[in-house]
Amino acid sequence: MSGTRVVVLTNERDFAADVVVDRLQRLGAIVSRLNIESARSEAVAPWSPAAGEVPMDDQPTVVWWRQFETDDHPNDLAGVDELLVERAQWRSWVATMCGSRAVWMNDLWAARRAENKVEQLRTATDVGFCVPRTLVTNNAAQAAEFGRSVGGAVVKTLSSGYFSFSDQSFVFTELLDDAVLDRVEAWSAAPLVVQQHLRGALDARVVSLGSRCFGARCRSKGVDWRKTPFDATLWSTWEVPPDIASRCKNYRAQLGLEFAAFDFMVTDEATYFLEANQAGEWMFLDRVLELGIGPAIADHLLVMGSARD
Amino acid sequence: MTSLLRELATKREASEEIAIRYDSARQISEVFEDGRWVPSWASRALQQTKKCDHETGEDQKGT
Repeated sequence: MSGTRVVVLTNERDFAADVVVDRLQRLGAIVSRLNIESARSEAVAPWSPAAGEVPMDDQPTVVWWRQFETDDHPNDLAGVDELLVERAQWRSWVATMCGSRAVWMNDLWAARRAENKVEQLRTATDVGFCVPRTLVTNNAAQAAEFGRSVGGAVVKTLSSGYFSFSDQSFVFTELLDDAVLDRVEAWSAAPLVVQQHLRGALDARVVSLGSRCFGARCRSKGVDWRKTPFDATLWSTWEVPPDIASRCKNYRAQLGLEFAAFDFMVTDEATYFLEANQAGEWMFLDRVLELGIGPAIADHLLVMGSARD
Repeated sequence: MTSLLRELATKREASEEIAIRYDSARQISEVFEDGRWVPSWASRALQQTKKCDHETGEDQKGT
């Protein structure tokens, strides 16, 4: 596997990538970490649809696609506009690396499909996960009726709820209470996910890649553990039940993913699927629980490169 | 009128800022502590920093 060329598409503050890059280099891989910061300040490899139009030297064997963007906060509207337009260009540019002989983790098009929460819930149901009763709606009356029918519900976003350019606030999972339902007219502005509230359940995160599975669970009793400062003492390793591990693998296979981070709620009766993020974070768990996810990712990237050769 | 999504959002207070630099030769980030630069994975300060400060992808790429 020595000599495998790995391109890492990310940013300079991707600390999870640090661990993987270091291990890849120790294992003899030729690593090119392309951070968006340097891509925006230096010439990137040109691309042409015509064969032979541009030099195709140093083609990567494996591409590890992480977070090829930064969390910038322009201080005026024009700056926001410029950043959004630039991001759109880079979002398309990433595809220039798809036509190479490289294998990706995760496949670009599979990843974009897998980021859709509707598709996540659909796929989870297909592979046999228990899914909490869920309604996607932009109507307060429908949400209220659903909440009553399931004995209480939570509300969350259907896509990213990050207010990046104003106050960097974030929409976490919240209880569907009267204060939320009373905003009747405001509901129609955007669809939301209303989901059965699983009282007393524990959160669990499972990282699944290749044939491996890593689990951790959180004793937090809050509606959303991310809402409070990270508390390492609440987390412990979780031996992932074989049926859950198997379904994670089937889920990835159905969506064409090499890697995914799954969020579950665990009750005495069942393990409920919440969502699966194809670029989910894991470093915060590896730091405190030493699960070995970082090394496993590096090893898997090399296996992928080897299989391609 | 404030949107429902905005009302549901929670403002997150950043942790105390720490000094970070990118080492382009090693292709990793380093954190300054105890008078020297250490790899990010060896940093105690980074471990104590809120997840949201540095893992801004919020488990999605966002684009």
